[in-house]
Amino acid sequence: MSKEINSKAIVVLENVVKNYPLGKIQVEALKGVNLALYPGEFTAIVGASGSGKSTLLNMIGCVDLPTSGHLYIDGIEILNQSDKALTKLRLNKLGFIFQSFNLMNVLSVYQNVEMPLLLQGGFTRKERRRKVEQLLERVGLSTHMTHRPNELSGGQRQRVSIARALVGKPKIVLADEPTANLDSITGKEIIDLMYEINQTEHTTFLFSTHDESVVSRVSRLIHIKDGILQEELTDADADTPREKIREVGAL
Amino acid sequence: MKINTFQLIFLVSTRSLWNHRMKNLVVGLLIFFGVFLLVVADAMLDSINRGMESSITASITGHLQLYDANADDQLAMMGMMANLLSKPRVGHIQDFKSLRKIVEQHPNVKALIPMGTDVAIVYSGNSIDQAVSEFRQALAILPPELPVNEKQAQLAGHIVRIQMLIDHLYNEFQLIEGFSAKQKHTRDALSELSKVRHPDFWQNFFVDTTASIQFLETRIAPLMDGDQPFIYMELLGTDLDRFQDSFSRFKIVKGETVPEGQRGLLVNDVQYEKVIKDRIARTFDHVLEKRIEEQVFIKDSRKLDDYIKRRAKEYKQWILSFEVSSAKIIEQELQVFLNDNQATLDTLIPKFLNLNDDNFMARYNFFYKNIAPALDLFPIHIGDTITLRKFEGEGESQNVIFYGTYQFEGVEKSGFSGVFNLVDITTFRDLYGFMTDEKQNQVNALKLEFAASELKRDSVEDELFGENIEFEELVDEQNTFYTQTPDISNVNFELADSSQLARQELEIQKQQYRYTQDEIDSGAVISASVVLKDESLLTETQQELEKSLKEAHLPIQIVDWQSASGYVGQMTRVMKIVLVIFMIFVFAVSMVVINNAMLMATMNRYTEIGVLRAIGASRSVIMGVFLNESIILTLIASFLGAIMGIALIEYLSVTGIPAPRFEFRFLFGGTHLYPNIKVENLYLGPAIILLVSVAATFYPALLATRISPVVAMNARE
Repeated sequence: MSKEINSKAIVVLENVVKNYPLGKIQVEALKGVNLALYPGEFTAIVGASGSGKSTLLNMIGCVDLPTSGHLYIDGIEILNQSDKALTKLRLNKLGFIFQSFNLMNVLSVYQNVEMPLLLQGGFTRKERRRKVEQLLERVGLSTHMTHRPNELSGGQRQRVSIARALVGKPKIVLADEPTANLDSITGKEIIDLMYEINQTEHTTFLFSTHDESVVSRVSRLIHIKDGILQEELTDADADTPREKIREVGAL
Repeated sequence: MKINTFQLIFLVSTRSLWNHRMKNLVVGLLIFFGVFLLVVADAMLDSINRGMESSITASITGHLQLYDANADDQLAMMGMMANLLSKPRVGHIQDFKSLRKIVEQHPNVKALIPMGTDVAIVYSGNSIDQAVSEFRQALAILPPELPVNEKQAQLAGHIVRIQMLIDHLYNEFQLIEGFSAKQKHTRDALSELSKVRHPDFWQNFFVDTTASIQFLETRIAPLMDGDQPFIYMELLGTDLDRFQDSFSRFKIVKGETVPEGQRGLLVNDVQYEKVIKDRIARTFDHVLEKRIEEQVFIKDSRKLDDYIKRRAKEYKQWILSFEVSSAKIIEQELQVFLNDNQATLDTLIPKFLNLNDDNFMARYNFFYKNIAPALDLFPIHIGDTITLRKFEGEGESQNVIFYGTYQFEGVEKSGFSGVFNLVDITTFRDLYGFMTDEKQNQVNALKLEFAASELKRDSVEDELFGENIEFEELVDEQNTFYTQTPDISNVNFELADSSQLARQELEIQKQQYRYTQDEIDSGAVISASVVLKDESLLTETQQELEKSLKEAHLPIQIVDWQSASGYVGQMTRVMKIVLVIFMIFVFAVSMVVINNAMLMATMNRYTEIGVLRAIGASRSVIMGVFLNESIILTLIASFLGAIMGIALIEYLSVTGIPAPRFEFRFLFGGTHLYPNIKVENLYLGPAIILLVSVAATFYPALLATRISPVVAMNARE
């Protein structure tokens, strides 16, 4: 039964452990994490700094590998994949939104958003143009296409980031503290925008934050403390997720 | 990789280049100058090579040189004077006739010219010899029946001059008496000189005129030395007619060419003017030449000033070379010219030779107008019969008429090809004992005969020749070419009738005899020059000739002009090696700079690369971005550097680069170098620098590919 459920999940973590060497001692950043994320979910991970939430996102983002346990992205076990395969996986199945935006300042807004399409390849100039323009309009920046990222405000930059993360049609968008570098109003707007996209296009989001105020928006709220997950039910979506996570946790 | 990936790489790398434009400008400038220098230097060297090729191939060497395949050493046609004592042993070509038949069949061969080079000396006599010989000539035209006192009166001028020379010599020996290492020699010399200083010697001079003159010539004249009694000549024996027709730079300067098929000597005009001519006259020539052709003045050149001062110190010898009667006239004229009525030549001449930039032209003109006519400016004159002697060993000599001087136009004063004196191949063969196989067999037969009979060497010589011919050298089979083996027929003739008259008769016959082409060709030579019709086919022609020679079983090797000309021809090769070493140095520096710049770029773009990796750019994309940046920068800078190089060479090809010194004319192939740029000059620089910059980028790029995508996640502004 769990297999069947897991086959629907985009991301599955089974007993994932991550140790970091810190001087002579090993720091346990993740202590046997079990988690499954399903299509259309809008999930937040909340925890203090040093709680392991960034490590968790790095694992799911396939930029770092677990010390032990299993991690499946879209049904693929990533633990023994080559760098090339992981790169391809990130390109085609994952979208990234970074805390400090990480846009390429040498490129224009348009070019930044177009980049994943060029990496994926196979699109004509016209197709790319349509996709990029559509997304920039969606995030409200269609008038800023030729600007350089450093000519934009923080909020605008994060919108470009969102567009870039979405343009390759990923299975899940990972956002590591997307509001940390923004003031609270702008931060709220960004979360609103992500939520809106989640609601209208059913894009799956997983984002980390230490801001408890976003909690009202999310469909799932996961607390992390000392490398251990604790999930709470939210008002917005009260039924199935909890059962599912319990089942996964029982594995 | 997909086309879109290339698009991305190109996009990112061009934008990054622009974004880091200050750093890239520095790297770009470095590449720009590297390529510029390399293109210009390469084009210049090629142009110099072509200039030199024209200098060498149009004078003496030709395009190809053929010589004995079994030679011990390599042929070196130029720069021979430098290794007089260790002359390369290059063997000789026995059968020139057959060689000619084969080589001249080739459609691209214009001519094959036989050659042999060696050193000869001409004994020109010292001041006493000259004075005595002039005295003898003056005596010869006086009627023999003239009374003695009448003869003395007529020849007084000559006698006083000889006496002055003797006094000068006597004083010199007195000066060194007691200090000289050769005490006995000094004492003997003084005693001999005392004899001729005694009035009795001159009183009784005409009692036995021949004996008196002989005493002066054999006992007194040899006491004087350091007065350049020898002229060293580098001889090139050749087929003179074919030589003149084949080498386009050849030109007669003074006198005339040797009549077809006759024996004769053509002296190199530079040697005639700069080595053989009177030393003081040469001083004036040299200063004028520096002044006019190189704009070097005495006040600017320490070297020139020292040179003048050194020459001026030789004034005593110079005064002694004046005839007495003209010495008096010159003294009077100099008194007026220098405004010093009391002075004698001893003070006037040093004063006159104290040259500076202001007085030079007046003194130069005075010299040639008033002094030169009284001097014998050249110890050998056009039209004279000259006796050439072998440099190595004694005895062997050949008389030959000195017809004129020649030069190789455009490169006449270079000093490289400017040292050869041309002589007909027949005289050359006689002088250096060339032997054909036939003659060699005769000698070998003689040798065997004597070895068998075990006769004593001395008696063999007497028996065979009746005179002291060096048999030892005759049988020296180690080095038959350079032995002193006389032409046997000649020796016999001389022995049969050794009277003076018969000798002269023989000389006249020898000089007037016209050689047929067949006689010139039938005989041994050292090497042979091939002049081509189309020089661009040099390599092909060389290969084809090598093949034909092999088929004909002729043991001849062929070298191109560059190898054949000795160290001179190698000069551009050496310069090219120096250039390459220099460039390696420049590129090593570029490499370090580019490497550093790229490493810094990697550091600066740490996050950017992490982000690219996180959102799905593979390692090869990162590598591509870095290499592409490097390649684009190199291509642009190389292109501009090459354009700049082309522009400079094109400009110089119109204005020309004047040869700064005479030696350069040889390299430049004339008074100016007009460099050309060819497509091949443009390959080397950009290709090397592209390689260097890619290599320099590779390591930093490799490091960049190792940057983990985690850095993108951890980046904090």
